[in-house]
Amino acid sequence: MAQVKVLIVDDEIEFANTLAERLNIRGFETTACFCTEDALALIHAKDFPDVVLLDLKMPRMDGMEALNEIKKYNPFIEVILLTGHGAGLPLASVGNNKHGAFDCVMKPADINELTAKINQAMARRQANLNKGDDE
Amino acid sequence: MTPRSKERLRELQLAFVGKLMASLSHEFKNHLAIIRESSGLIEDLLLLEEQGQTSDRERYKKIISVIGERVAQAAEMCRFLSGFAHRMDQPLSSLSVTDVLQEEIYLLHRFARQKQVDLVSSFAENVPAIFNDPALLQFAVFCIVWPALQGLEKDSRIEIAVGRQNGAVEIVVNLEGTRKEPEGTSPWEELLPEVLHMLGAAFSRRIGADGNEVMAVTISSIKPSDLSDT
Repeated sequence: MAQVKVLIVDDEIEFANTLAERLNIRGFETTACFCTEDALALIHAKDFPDVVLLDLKMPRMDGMEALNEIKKYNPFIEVILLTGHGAGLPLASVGNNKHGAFDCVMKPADINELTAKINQAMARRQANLNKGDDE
Repeated sequence: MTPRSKERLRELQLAFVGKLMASLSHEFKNHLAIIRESSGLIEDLLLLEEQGQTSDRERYKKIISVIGERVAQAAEMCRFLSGFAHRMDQPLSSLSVTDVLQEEIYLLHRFARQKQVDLVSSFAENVPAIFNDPALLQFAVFCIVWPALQGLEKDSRIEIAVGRQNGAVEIVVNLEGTRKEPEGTSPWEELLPEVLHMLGAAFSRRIGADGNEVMAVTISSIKPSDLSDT
């Protein structure tokens, strides 16, 4: 089975790099980006990845704006939002439909919880792609 | 001060504290997230060693150093936060304006970073201590800086300077950069004159020769009896 490609987007460089390394150890193919603009450029250039881990609060273009752009470009890319906001706030601001995001995870996140979410997001992506093929 | 103004002051002071708490708790979680991932990475690497991968002591040292740095940064944040919280212990006290503003500028840095605005301080030496309300002074400065921060374009600069002015202390806020025309007066700016009156402070606003907007607050000691009408 092909490796799941994960793009981590967070302006906390140490966080993004360390998380990328930990996910690599767990068998994911990871790339870290430190701003949404670079992440979008990468997505456009390489038609990549399967799943994006996207920090909500970033300078210039924030996570929500980037989420909209990603979904506009390719609705099959699954996005998991990461946030350091207090409990309840992210889901309230993201809304019940999460603006197309697969889920919202609070920082600091448990690596096992995060890998489970990535796998679930990947399963949804696969199901959506298969549905697309059928239609 | 009218009952409505008092109510407004209470509301906005709470909003000020709330904004700082939200921002700092967010920043604190970032430190915790890095500490968690870094310690998790050590666990992962130890597990890989048990499975036969060679040990890399330098790698461990680097990760441990990241953890140490983040703990130090989080501890510094707590120190400033604790100082800020204790400013409210007594409504009036002897205070160093530079200490009070250094603390506030530290706490406001995250907002400035998010807006990509450079927030810097320039404090003269030997600024006299004054007897006044430190928490209210921090609020007054917030009433000036916050609307500016909302209006300034990215790559702008806010300089907060403190100096001596005929026995009093002058705080000068210099805005360098393009400021979007506000749609109206913000509630912070609306309340500012009354707050400055409570502090016994004078305020001026001008456009400097370089086109920058410059706001100055001159503050000195206040007698407790001066607060009787507030």
